[in-house]
Amino acid sequence: MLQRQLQAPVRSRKGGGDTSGAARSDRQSRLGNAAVQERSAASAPAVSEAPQAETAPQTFPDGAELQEAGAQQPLRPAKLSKGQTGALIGTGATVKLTRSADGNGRAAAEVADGSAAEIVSVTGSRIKVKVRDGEKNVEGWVDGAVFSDQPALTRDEDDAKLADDYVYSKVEGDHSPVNPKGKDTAQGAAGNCFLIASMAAVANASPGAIKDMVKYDKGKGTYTVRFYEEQGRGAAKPVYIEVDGYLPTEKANRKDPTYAGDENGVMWSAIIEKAYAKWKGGYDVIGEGGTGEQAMAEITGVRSQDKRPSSMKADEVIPFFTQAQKDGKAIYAGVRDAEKSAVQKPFRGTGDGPFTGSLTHTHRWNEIHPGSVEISDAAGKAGDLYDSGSHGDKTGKLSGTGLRSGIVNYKGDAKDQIELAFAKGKGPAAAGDLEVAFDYEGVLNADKTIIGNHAYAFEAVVGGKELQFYNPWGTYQPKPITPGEFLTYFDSLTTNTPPSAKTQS
Amino acid sequence: MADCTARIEAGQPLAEALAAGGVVCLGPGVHAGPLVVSASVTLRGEAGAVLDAKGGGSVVAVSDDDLVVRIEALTLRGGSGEAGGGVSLTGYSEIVLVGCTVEGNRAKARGGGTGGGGGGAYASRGTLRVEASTFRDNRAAVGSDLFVTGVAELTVSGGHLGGDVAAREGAQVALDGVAVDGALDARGTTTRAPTVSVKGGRVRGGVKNDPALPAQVEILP
Repeated sequence: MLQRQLQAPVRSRKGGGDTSGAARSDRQSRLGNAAVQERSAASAPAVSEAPQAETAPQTFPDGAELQEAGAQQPLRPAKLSKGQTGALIGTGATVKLTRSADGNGRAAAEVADGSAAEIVSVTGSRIKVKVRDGEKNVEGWVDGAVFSDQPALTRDEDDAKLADDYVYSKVEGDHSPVNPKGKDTAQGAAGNCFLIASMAAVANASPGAIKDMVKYDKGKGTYTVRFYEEQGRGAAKPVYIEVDGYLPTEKANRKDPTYAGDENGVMWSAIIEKAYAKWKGGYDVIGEGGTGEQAMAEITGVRSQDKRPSSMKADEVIPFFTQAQKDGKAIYAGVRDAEKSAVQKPFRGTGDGPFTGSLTHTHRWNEIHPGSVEISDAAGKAGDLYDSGSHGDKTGKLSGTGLRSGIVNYKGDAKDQIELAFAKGKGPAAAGDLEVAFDYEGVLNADKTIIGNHAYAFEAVVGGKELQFYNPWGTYQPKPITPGEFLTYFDSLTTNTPPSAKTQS
Repeated sequence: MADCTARIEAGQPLAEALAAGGVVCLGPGVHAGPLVVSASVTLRGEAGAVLDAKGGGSVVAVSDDDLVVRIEALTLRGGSGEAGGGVSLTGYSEIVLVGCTVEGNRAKARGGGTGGGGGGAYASRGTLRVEASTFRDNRAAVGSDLFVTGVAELTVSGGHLGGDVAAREGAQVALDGVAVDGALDARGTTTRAPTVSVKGGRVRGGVKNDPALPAQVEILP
């Protein structure tokens, strides 16, 4: 399904998506690479000055001296309460749930260590949790000490299999950003390219701003990540979120992170993403989508500025990006969700029908934008037809003057994507007279690899006449585009001026 | 109309009149959007006046501060955007919709691929006031008609919303005598919660208040 593809395709494990080829195999051992990237206390992040008068200088709340390395332990909540989401992380390969609160008696289930869980009730030190076990939800009792404070993966019953496929796994070492670059980021299974592209854009403009966000406590093996929450005009307060080094991974391959990361084991974006998910309420929450305008402000503490591509002329594009880059601005841009197709004549049939035909796409990921199909008779005999579908529909019904029946299969998995028939005497003179135009979603420009409904981070002006963007998937990078292509495909443009970093003495 | 400072016929450019402010009256027919509004202005539609963005962005977008943008008796349609297909408010300004029809707009989520916040209207700052207006056939993954987040305030008085309303972060929402066909979906974060007040009217799809990240919800008769 297209929606899955528009999450990072190589890790679209909810089903569908592009899970083939080298890109997927590239990621198989990323945590293996990450695990050996231990860093020294000397690389602890600096703390920046306030970006604006509205945000007071920040220091991290714990301020503790870095301790000698200790075993990384999962974060445990200070208090256990009903409705809390987290994971069961013990000392073995599995965690056993019992049917009775005292831990005796028959087992309710035995789940993989790191399984996502939600507390159903609390009795003393024992907790009853709901976990996913294969195809079903199971409730059982465990010692509260195995419950770890982790962002929820999903609370959607329709997506509950996700909680069975993925488990939290330990990532050894310090993965706070050292020399962050936009190219370090790669989106995972969450639909949060707005966040990953924002991180990449800020990293490209001001690596220090990313570096300053994260403080690693070597003794605890935890990270404190600083965001900013806007309180009103000119007021943003810092929010500190503590996370441990456990990340969601595939249960079948604990070296394969589910969400953000990068191809080379540089995992700072996964740490920031995890903290963001914990702050906002879960990976599922941040997968709901968002805006770069908000995300960049939450990263830098500085209000973002919108610039609408629709208000720009082609000759203003290169000067705008050149100046913005010169001014040290992070630049985020979003692509519209659909583009108009070329007119096609796909139909077979005679008389009043039935007529059948399938549409041709410029990329294998592309699909019809529901509700956009228009069929007309070039010779003017048959009436105009329109489909009435909307997102979420597998098919759309055609309507129009003289139509007897008509349907469009949006997913294109039927033999004939469009089937229609006219009332007696209302059909076209020939099937070849029927023309179809529609909006398509997916890869809006296959030559330049511009993905629809997707966010990008700006990288550079190339040769003084083209723009290079970074795809936060980490793959399917676009080729440089002209100002005209930018105005054709992009419908949002946001800049943010990160604070200049100042190294902590 | 007597107090129009400018009158624009369908097909004529709007930018100059918008920049000048005052009361800009739009004649019957389809006027081309999208519009980025950077000055306080009243846009007043005559019967049959439509502002159509034709998928090129939000029909009306305001990101500057300290503006008052009043839109009267206009149909806003064909908008699309990252958030707020019909109306996008990201500045500390006020947008007032009076007697408007907001239809056939869509928003999208960048990552998910199918719709984002506020097909009809989106606000993350400032105040959005909707009076005696109709929203229909707007699409978004969340808040198909209205989505408010951040520190924005939304008040809706009377009128009809054919879709959903969503409140996130620290937004404030007040519905007074509004017929909502969809749901009112509210969720906070771990650090703040939106406030929602519903007085009279009806919310056919119910109030969905996330128990894990609850909003402050007040339902009044």
